[in-house]
Amino acid sequence: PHRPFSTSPLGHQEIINTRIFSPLNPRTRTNMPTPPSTSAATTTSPVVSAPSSTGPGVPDFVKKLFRMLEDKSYNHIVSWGSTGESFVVKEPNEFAKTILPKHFKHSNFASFVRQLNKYDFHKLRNADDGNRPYGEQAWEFVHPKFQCNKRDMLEKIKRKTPSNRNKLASLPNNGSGASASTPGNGHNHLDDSPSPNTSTIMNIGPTVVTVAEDLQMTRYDLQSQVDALQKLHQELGAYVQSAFKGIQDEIYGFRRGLEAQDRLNYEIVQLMCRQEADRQHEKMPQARFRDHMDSGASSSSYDTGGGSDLYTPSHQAQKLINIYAEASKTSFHQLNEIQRRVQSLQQIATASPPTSWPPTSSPSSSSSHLHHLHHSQVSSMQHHSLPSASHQQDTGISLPPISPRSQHGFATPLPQMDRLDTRYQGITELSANSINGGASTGFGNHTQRHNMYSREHTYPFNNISTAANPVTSMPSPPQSSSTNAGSSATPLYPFNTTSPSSYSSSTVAYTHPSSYSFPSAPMAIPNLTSQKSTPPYSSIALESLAPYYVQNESSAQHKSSLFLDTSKANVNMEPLTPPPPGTDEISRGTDDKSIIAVSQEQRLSSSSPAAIDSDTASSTNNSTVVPFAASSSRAVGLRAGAPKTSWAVAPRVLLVEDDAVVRQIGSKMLNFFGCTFDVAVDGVDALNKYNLGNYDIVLMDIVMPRLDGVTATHRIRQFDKLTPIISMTSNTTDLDIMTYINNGMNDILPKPISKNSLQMMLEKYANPNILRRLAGIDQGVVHRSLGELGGIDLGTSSSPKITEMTNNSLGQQQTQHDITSNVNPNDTDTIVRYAGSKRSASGDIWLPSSRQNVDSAVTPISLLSPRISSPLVIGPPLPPAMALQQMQQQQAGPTFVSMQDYTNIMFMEMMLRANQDASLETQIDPFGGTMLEALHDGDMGPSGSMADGSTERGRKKAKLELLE
Amino acid sequence: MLKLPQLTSSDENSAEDSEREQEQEQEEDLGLIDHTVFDQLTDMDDEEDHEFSKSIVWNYFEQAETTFEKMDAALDEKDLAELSRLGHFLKGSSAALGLRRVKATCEKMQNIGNLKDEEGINNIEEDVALESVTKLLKQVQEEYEEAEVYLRKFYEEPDGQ
Repeated sequence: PHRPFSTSPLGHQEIINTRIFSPLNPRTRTNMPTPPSTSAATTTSPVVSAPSSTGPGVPDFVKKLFRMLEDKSYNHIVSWGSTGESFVVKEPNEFAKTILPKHFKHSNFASFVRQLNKYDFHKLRNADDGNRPYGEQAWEFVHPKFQCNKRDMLEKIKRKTPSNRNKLASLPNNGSGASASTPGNGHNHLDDSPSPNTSTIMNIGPTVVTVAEDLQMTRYDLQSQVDALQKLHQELGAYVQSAFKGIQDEIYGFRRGLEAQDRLNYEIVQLMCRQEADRQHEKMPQARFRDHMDSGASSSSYDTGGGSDLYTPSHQAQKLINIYAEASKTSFHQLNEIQRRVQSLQQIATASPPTSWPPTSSPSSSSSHLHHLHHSQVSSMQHHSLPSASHQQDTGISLPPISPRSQHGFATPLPQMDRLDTRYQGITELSANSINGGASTGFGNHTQRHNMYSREHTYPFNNISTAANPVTSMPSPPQSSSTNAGSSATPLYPFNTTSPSSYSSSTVAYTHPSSYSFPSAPMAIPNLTSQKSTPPYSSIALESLAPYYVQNESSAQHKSSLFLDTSKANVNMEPLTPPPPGTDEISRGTDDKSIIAVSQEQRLSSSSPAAIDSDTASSTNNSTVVPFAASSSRAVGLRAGAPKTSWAVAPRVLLVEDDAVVRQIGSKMLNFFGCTFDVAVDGVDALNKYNLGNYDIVLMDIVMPRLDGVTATHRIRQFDKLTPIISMTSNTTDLDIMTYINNGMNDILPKPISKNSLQMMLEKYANPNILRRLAGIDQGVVHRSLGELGGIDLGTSSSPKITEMTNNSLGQQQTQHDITSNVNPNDTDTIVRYAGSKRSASGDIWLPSSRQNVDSAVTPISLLSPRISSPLVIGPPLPPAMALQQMQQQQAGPTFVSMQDYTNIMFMEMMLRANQDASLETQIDPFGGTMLEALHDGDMGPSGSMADGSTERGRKKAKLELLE
Repeated sequence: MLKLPQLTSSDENSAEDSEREQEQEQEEDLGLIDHTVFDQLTDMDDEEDHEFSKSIVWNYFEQAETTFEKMDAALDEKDLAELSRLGHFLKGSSAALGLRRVKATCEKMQNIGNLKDEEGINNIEEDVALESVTKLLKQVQEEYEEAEVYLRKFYEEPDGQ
C-alpha cells in the first residue's frame, strides 16, 4: 500500500533535493537565496504526525480533513454538506484565514483545493438555477468515500495516480539536469524512511499537531516549488550569463583582431606613403617642392601632363588612405553597434534578479578604447555619429536609391583641365583631411591632429601633391588646404572634404560594402523593380558609355602628354564623342554651384534617412555615414545567419564554356546548387547574353572560339566593373592568373570543376553580388553612371536639366543647412567639402579605369570585387598580400565581411599599382594595349608581352618584399 | 620586352599552388580514371539511373572522336597551333570526366603545340614538336580508347566498378 503521507513528503523531498544537490551546482548554491522557512521546514518535517483516531492506512490529508469537519465550531465556515456526502467551504476567505493554518499549516485556499484534487475530490458545481444553499462563495466538494460519520471508508480514499506524483517529484529537478534525476529517484526512497517515525508519532500526536503538520507540509510544498522556480531561474540566468560571456569574449577577441588588423593596415599605409614619398623625393628637387608649397592659388598655368605619372600613385595613396580611414571607422562603428546590442541584451539579462555576473566593460569604455585605437585615424571623427547611425539602423531605414544620384552626375567629372586641377587639389586636401580626421569636428582639433600626424602622413602627402606638379604651381597653397582646409570658404576647392564623405561616394562607386550589405526585404522590393526597369546595356550605351570614352580619351590625352607621345594615346580608344570642351573657361560660380548642388543632391539622397529623421541629422557627416554603419552591421548579421549552401535568392549565373561536356556538367552543378543560369558557348555569345541578362556571377572559360574569355571579360569590364567574373580554366600558372586578373577576372575556378570549388566560388562572389543586387544597386548602371553620366551633365552645365537640378538642390541645401546648422556651424563648409569629395570620388573611380585602358597593365578589378580572399588570386603574384589576407581572415573570423577586407584589397591594388607605376617609368611602351592583345591570343601564349608582364611582376615582387 | 626570370614565378607559388601541382603530379601517376571527379559526375545522376552522366560521357565520346579527326588533319598540315588548341580543348572535357591519362597527354600536346616541351617550360624546335606531337596523338588515342572501353563497360553494368 502506498505510504499515507505522500503529499507532504513531496514538499519535503523537494527541499532536500534542492539542498542536497545544490552543491553540485555552485552557481545555484551561491546565488540562491535560501528561504528562511526552508530550514525550519526541514527540521520540523520529521514531526509529521497523524491522528490516532483514524487508521494508519488513511492518508494524512484526509484524516486532517475529516477531523476538521468533525469540529463543529467551524460550521459557519466549513461543514458537511446537507446530505453528509459532501463538505462545503462556505467562506473560503475565512477558511483560509483561520482554519487552514490550524489544520494544514498554510493559508492558501488554492493549495487546499489542489490537495483535494489530488485525492480525487471533486468540486460540485453550483446549480444553474442560482440556488446556492451555502451562500454565494461556497465551495462544495465531494468524494464518494468521504462521507459524514463514515470514517471507515476513508481508507479507500487514495491519492490519484502515483505516477503523477513521481512526475511532480522530479519536476523541480528538471532544471538541474541529469545529475538531479538520480537523486530524484533516491528521494522516493527517502520518502519511506520517515514513515515509521511518523506512524509512531501519529499514535501519540494530538490533533493539533497533525493539523499543524499538515499545514507545514503544504508550506513545504509551496516552498519547494518556489525553490525550484528560483533554481530554474538561476540556471537560466547563469546560462544567459555564460552565453553572454561567450559572446563578449568573442567580441573582445574580434576587437583585438580588428585592432591588430587596423594597426597592420595603418602600418601599411604609412609604409606606402613613405615609400612613395621617397620616390617622389628622388625625382623632385627639394627646392622645387618648397616652391610649390609657397606658390599661390593660381590654378591657371597648370600642366596636367607634367606630373601625372607621379601623381597617380599619390592619388592612389590618397584613395587608399581614405578607404583605410573609412574602413577603420566603419569597423569601429560596426563594433560599437555590436557592443551596443550586446549591452542592451545584457541589460535585459541583468534584469533577472538572482544572477550576478562579472561586470563587463561598459559600452562607453570599450568604445572609447576603440576610439583611442582609432584616434590616429580619421575614423575618430565619426564616432559622434554613432548613436544616430545606430538609430538609423534600428528604424530600418533603407539605403537611398542610387539611381537618382547617378542622374545627377554622381561623380561629377569636370572638364578635363579643371578636373585634373582639382584632383591635385584634392590630393592635398584629402590627405590633409584624412589626417585631420575631418574638419567637421572642429578646426582646433583639425590643426592639432594635423600636427600630430604631419610627421606620418601629411608630410609625404603634401610632398607628393606638390611634387606631382613639378612644372606648375599648385592651384592653392598646400598650407591653406592642409591646415586651413575647413575654414577656407573658397568653394572652388571643394576637396576640403572629410574623408568619410568622400569615401562614401567612392565606396558606392566601387564595391559598395554599404550596398551589398543591404539585404532587407522592404528595401529590396522597390529596388528590384527599379533594377528591372533599368535599360539593358545597349540602350545605356549612348548616355553612359560615351562619356566613358570621353573620359578615357581625355585621360589618354593626359597620359600622352605625359609621355610626349600622342600617337599612342588612342591605342585603346574608340571615342564615341569628342571630349568635353576644354573647360577652364567655365565660370567659377557655375562650377561651384553645380558642384555644390550636385553634392547636395547626393548628400540628400544618400543621407535622406537621416534627413527624414530630423533628430539624427545632427551633422552632415553624420547623415552620410549612416548607411555605412547601419549596413555594415547588418551585413555581419546576415552573413552570419546565412546558411552555408542555400541562397536567399538564387544566384544568376552566366556560364560561358565552349566545351559541351564541361558545359553540361557545369549546368548540372549549377542546377544542383539551385542557381538560375544561362549558358554561352563562346565569348561573343557571352557578351550578347550579358547585355541582356543581369548576372550575379560569370563563370568564364578562357579558351574559346570566336572570342576568348579574357577578351570577353575585358569587354565586360569596360562597362561593368562589379559583377564577379570567374575564370574557369585548367591553365593556372602564375602568368595565366596574372593575365586573368589583369583583365578583370576576379578569381580562378580550376578545371575540372568540382562541386565544392564551384560552391565556394558562388558563395564567395555571387552572394555579395546578390546582396548588392537586392540593395538595388545595379552594378552596371550605377557604375556606368558614376563617372560618365555626370561627365556630360556637368561638363555642359548649360543643360537645362542640370540647371534645374542645381536650383532644386540649392533649395534643398538651404533646408538641409537649416537643419544642420544648429548642430554644425561649419555646415556650409562641410557641404562644400562634401561636394569636393564627390568630385574626388569620381576622379578616384575613373582614374584606374581610364588608366587601365591606356596602359592596361593592372586592372583594378580586385578593388571592385567585394571580397577577394582567395590566395589564388592575390597569392601567387602577391605573397604579402596573401599573407595579409590570411591574417585578416584569421583576425576577423569567417563571418566578418567588412570594410577591412575591402581595405586590404585596396592595399593590394595600391601596391600593385604603385609598383606598376614604378615599372612603367622604365618601360618604353607605357601602353600595354599591345600586350593585352597578345594576351588575348591564347590563355597561355608564351609571348613576349607576357614576359613583359612578368617582368613587372618581378618588380612588384621585389617591392612587396621591401614592404614586408 | 623582358624575359621573366624563372625564379620569380616559382618563388611566388603560393602554398596552394604547389599543392595543386603536387596533386597534378599524383594524377599523372595514378590510374586511368580519377574517381573523385568521375564519381562526382555520377553522384549527380538520379538514383539508380545514370542517364545524366551517361549522356555526358557519350557526348564526350562524340566530341573526342571529332577532335581526333581534327587533330589528325592538323597534324597533316603541321598546324601546331591548332594541335595545341585541340589538345587544350580535349583536355578540358577529359579532365571534367576525370580521364586522367587522356587529360595529361592532351596537356602535353597543348604544350608541344605551343613549341614548348611537355611541361610547357622550355622552348623546342618545330620539327621536334611535330615529332613528339605525332607520338602523343597516337598515345592519346590509345588512352582514349582505353577510357572509352572502361566507360562503356561502366554504363553497361552500372554496378561494376
